[in-house]
Amino acid sequence: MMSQVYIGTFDAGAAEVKFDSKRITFMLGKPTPGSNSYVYAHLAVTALKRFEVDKDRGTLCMWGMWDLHFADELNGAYMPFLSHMDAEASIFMQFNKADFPRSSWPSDILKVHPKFAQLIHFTSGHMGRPLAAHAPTAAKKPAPKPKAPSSQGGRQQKAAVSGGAGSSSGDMQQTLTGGRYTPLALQPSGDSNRVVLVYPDEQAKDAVTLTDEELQRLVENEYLNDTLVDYKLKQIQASLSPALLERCHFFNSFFFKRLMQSIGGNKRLKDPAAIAEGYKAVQRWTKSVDLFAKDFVFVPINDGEASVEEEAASAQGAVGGVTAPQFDDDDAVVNPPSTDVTTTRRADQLSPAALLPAAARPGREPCIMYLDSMGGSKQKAFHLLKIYLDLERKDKEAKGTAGKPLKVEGAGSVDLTAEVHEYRGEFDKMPEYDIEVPHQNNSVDCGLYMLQFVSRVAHEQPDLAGARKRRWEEAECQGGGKLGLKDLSPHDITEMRSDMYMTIKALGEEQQAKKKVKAEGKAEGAPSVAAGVADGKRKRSKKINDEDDDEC
Amino acid sequence: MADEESKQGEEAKPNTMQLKVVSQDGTEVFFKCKPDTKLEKLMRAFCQRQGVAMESVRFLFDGNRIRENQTPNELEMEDGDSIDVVVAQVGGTPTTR
Repeated sequence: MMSQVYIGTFDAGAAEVKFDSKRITFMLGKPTPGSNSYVYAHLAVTALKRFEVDKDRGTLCMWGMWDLHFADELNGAYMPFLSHMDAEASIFMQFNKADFPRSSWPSDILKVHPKFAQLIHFTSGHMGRPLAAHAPTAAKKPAPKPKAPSSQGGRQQKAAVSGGAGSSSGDMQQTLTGGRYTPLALQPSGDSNRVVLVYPDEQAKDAVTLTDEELQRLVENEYLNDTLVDYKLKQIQASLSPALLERCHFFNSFFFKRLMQSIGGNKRLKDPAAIAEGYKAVQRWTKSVDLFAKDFVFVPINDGEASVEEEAASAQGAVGGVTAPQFDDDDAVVNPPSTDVTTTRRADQLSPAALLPAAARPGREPCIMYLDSMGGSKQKAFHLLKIYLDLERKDKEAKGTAGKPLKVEGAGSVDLTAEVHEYRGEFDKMPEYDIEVPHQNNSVDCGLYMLQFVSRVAHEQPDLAGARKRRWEEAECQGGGKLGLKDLSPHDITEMRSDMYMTIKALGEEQQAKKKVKAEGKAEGAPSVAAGVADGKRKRSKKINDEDDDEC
Repeated sequence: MADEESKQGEEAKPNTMQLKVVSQDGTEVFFKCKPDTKLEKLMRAFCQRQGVAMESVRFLFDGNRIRENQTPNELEMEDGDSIDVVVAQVGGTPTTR
């Protein structure tokens, strides 16, 4: 269905439109009353069908598939069309002249994405034709109105939008300021196991399979799961330039937990034998990477009971499950937050001077940082990761694949066989930083914060050497200035959800389309392949029986 | 690749390999399979045996996720290799979930 909506010109910037290279975001300028969330609708640039501008009047109209999943609160009387997800809709808006000096706004938009330039149509007098009928219609401007089902599209009528609720701009305004919002019920989508996207592609070895379940989790107030986290981590990597990527290693969402569990949980963290044994479980995870050649190693930490039926690994009552990031020069750790306890760590606690030997840092000096949007407990992470590095170093050394040793001032030596109660190793004295990062204001967004931290740090890659290092730390300690973490807002988080949602959907559709093309090609082209497959299948089914003799 | 099978896993016939599936609690289950058999079979068999839903766990080989339609060959698994099974994780606070 297609509808048009007159957005109107609002006094106080009640609605605004943002263009970026990926999408057009339409949002109300104020957070939803009673919550921190902004209200949005998105139109992916890739889904943009037509784009009309009337410079003189300061109006523009865009057609395409608006993605409304995040427009939770965007329905209600003034925008009934939003309850139709997947509807193709045009949005017609008139800019507030004061906000958008006519001279520049269209060209600004054009700069954002080439697609705008291709699609843009300058018109005068009216806009708002349905895509299907390209005949000019005579709609004019300030008539507010949403509109009409397909065929008649063109004009903006006063008619109410499909949902009923006719609204005049006056009404809208009222609604906007009055704050009557009713949450949009998500449309249940049938099979949550339906595969939406295999990322990066089906051939990739470590591909992540995203299903409808993951999409549903991107809706506000839902927890992310490991699949989404791993997907995004991969996507972050893909977004880095080769040079930046080269300097990083990203562990997936399972690494920390696996390590922890294989050691046997908290209580055995001081038992060298258990640790050595536990290390084996992840020993091969780095078979093709030399951590010690990296500048940043990211370790997402999802620690705690959040996940269903984890064993007693963590159990510190307060630690919630999440992911907080942490990382360091030469090892990063990303670690999720845990509780909603808001512990704020003071900058002075982190003062580099206190932690780093003043002398000596010609080269890189490894450190470990912990970024946790929930202010969780970091000691375990520090402890465990240092041990891990130590074992990893020894393992790599034994294999002759380690890079040059990192020098940590005052490092002890490790004797795994000794009955020590405190594990001391090469990295024992490695400085620890508990970075003061923005805290989430709810219990569900930890995964997103973690991903934001990772993304920002990976892109920024602060130089930790020398003066810059100091500056960075200072800034960082006071709220993540240098990393761009300081300005991380709930808004960014919401946006990240929708961004992920849209990207996954778009990539998924692309993938499906490709697959179809391929399948069609195959159908005519390759009988032999088909035969081979069938053959393999037969064999396989035969084997079922003897295949799984378990022995435990 | 694992098929230069001179592996002499005890009863391993040429072209058969033994894979070990290790759960988080340390339980190990062994499977014999062919290098070109999709791992889906193994994954399903494991889940059935353990009574868990496929969607609730992930299978990892050297830390990498395994997809159902991959084969040991594609993943360059060798006889005796182990596959980790981990429970799907959800990020949030313990109190709410």
